[in-house]
Amino acid sequence: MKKPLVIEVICGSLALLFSYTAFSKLADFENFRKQLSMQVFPPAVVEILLYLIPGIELLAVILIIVKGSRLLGLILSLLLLVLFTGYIALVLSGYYDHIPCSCGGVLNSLGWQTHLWFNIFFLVLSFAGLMFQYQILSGGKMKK
Amino acid sequence: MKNLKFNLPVIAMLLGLGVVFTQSAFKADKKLLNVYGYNYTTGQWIPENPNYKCVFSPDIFCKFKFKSIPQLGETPSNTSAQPMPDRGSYVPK
Repeated sequence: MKKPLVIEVICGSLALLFSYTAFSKLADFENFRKQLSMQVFPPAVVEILLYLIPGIELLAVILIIVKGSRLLGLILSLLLLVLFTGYIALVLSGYYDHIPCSCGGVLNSLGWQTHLWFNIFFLVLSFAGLMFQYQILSGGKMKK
Repeated sequence: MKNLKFNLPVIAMLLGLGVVFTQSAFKADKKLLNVYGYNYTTGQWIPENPNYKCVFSPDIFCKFKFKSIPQLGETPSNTSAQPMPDRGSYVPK
């Protein structure tokens, strides 16, 4: 498979993931507020994250769609996935005093372990997309 | 494929949007997550989740249905939330 097609498929998958998660949060905003309040964050942080998370997810989708800003979109996607995966890793390692509800996110009926594998898959996909896009923009070769 | 005429991420975004709105259109009821369990050892309200269970104790209520979220200082003895049949303390599995 040629690199541009691979990038297109990776960007399509990431756009589907982030648009679905962002729109589902916005479509049921009260439920999202409740899910966030069930996490480990203090109420003031919940109020910020409530708008920040779907906002950044939609920004990532827009940046991925516009070909000129695709590299930036892939960097933002990678950053988001690193943060989400890091949070899940902290939850699973027992860092917090209680295990928060795993009811948010894409797989809202499944446990944290499944969420972790799901996120790692998209993290790898996002990293691969970023590398391919960088290679294309830098003329096919990785800089040493 | 010489020239990729279509923009797959645009199609994916529209698909994501479509899936969300078809799902919400067919949702029978908007079930809000308002069940909390009480951990009598730590004095914490834990939102109902699969990582916790009620360790049976006949004299205490384990889970409660809230209209909103539990307030600071609210305990099973001074709550207006509706107790559920489960008895015991809500602890990690």
